[in-house]
Amino acid sequence: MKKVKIFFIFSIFLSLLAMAACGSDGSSSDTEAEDITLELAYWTQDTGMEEILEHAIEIYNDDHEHVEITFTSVPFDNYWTRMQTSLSGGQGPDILLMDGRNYLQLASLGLLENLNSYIEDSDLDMSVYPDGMNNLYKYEEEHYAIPFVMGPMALYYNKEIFDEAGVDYPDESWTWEDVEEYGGQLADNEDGTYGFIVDTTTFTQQAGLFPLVHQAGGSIISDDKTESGFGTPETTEAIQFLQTLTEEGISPPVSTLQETQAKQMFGSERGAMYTSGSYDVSFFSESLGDKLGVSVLPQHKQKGYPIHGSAFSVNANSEYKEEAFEFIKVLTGDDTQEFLGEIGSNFPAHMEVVEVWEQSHPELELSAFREGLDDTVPYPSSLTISEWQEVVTSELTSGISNNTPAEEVSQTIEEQMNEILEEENR
Amino acid sequence: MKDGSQQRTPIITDKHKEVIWAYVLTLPAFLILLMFHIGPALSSFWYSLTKWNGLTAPEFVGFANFMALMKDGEFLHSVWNTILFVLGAVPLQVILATIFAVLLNMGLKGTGFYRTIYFLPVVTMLIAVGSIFRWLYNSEYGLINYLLGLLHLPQPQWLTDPGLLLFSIIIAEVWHRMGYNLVILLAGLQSIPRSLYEAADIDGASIIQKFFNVTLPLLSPSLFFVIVISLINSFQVFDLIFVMVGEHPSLLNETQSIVYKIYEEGFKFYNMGYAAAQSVVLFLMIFGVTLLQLYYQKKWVHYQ
Repeated sequence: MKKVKIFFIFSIFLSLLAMAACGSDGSSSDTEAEDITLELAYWTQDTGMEEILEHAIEIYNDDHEHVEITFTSVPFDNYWTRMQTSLSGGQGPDILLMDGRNYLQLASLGLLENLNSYIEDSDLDMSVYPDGMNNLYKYEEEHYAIPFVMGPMALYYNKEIFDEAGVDYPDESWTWEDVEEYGGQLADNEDGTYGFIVDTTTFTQQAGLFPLVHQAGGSIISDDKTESGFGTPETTEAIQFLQTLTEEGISPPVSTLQETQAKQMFGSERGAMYTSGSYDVSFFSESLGDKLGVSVLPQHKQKGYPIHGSAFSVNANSEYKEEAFEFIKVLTGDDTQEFLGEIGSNFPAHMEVVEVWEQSHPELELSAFREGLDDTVPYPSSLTISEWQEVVTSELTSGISNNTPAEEVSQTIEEQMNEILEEENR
Repeated sequence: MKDGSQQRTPIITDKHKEVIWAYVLTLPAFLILLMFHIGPALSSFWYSLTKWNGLTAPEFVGFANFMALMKDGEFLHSVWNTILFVLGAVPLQVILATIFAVLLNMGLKGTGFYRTIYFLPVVTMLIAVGSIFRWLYNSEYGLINYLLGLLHLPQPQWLTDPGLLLFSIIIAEVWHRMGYNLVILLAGLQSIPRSLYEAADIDGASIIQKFFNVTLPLLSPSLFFVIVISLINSFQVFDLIFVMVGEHPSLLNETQSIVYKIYEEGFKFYNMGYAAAQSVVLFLMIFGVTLLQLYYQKKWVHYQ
């Protein structure tokens, strides 16, 4: 059995090598520390974050020479686990990028610094942010984060497919009926092309079910976050609409979306229309070029959608909260926000500089994103959001693929979601 | 030590020195094991009796987590999925490994080459295996369905048909793990004395008879080892499910394993106490199955 032993040692060695190879992800930039060092963390994304941070650091260092800022990016899947554990252990970065789904949990545990007094002291004007964003990032009526970028929604469309089918481009007058009528003409199922791609399989439902529920006049969760908004005629109608679209071949079957991301499908010209956020503008303008068009979302009983975006927070355990807040001010201030608009990174949260971003792709009518903003509500959330979001996506996708009556799907979600919320509020 | 002691019999002999060095050299590994394996494993027994979100102080709740588990349909379903997975993956990888090991042991040309080929999947990261199988399985662009299409065979939805999904994952798992078993079995085969086969030849035994009466009994210690290890590994299946279906909750119902459920409860929903209770149940399951195997090995494992 000596061979086996040698073999064992060898295989352990190899697997250690493999582990070591994958253990060194995440990037950070370090130079020598002078007086104090601030650490910033964000989740890995393809929006030129590094460039933006370097730009902001340069501005900041003009009058904060003694502060050195380092930053780390962590893959989104690990980001929240890492933030939760390090912050609750009294450590973690001084500044961290925040999303609306995890914000409440961290704020409620007292891990984030209450920024109200800082905002007052520095006369920071919070009215430059839309209400939806301001409300999303409040906890018990207080601010614990400053909005950084937003992900407003719009309808992306492929001009070539419209031209070939002889259908007029969508505009702000479009309703669900138009989507169904023209979507059918635009789809060519033998070719694997669809009229209107709705991403029902991504668990956030940010571009999937949630906008439709809002347009049907419903909500995902009650304002006090204690009760599910499902089980109402409005949510049922939104689910029914998705089922109809799928049945008629206007939207791809769930199984197709589970294998090939909706974003990839639209990017490879297999869809005439697709709902998504401003964060996809660069990706689509690169993959579709001249064929890409943008318009506001279709409406039903009302216009709009729930708005989401990211923000920066200060670690409640940070030693240098003042300095950290000062840096957030630079990140969310005119100059950096203009810069991130200029490089076409994403939709700046600072509404006064949005036009700069719109000009980063002059060939597209990016104003559609701004126009839609007037009709937004905050993205639904509660402490147990990751639990009930999974219920929503699970029941919705299996409901669509098994053709379960929409009312039944809606009621199942309502029951399970209320159970989770009841537990949360106990 | 003083200078004078060098003349007399040293208090610390070479033998002692060796022992001390042995401890010193194994200490780092032991500490790591203690800190990152044994310690957390023991503490999860305690956490399984608490309600804990991983952030605030745990609150003792007795056996409430275990009582809740017995009524948790999703957990029971994940136990069932895990058992199905084990029943599918373990026999398949052991039988295939035995067949290939016997073939490689026949002394054909290029044995070393094939041994390396079969072992390569073992040193490939499971995450990479999962991603590549996702491409292979893609119903529209995947290589597998392309080949099936050329042969005019049905092209199943490997990754989205709930009835097929667990099987698809089992295939990937078997591909990944078989080489490990194969190399151990091959070493076992090579230690079987030639003379036994010669004796069997003289008695006029056929190839099949030789396999069942000579090879199999003498290979049984290696087989036993391989089966124990494969069972333990398969009970803990996680990575492939995470990579291949983790994004789609409606498909997870049919494939979610116990470890996946533990991950989800603990690190997505922050119900650490509840997750710890599940891991205790999994531990007891694996422990029980391994004890049974140790007990029954007397009946079929022949040590030379």
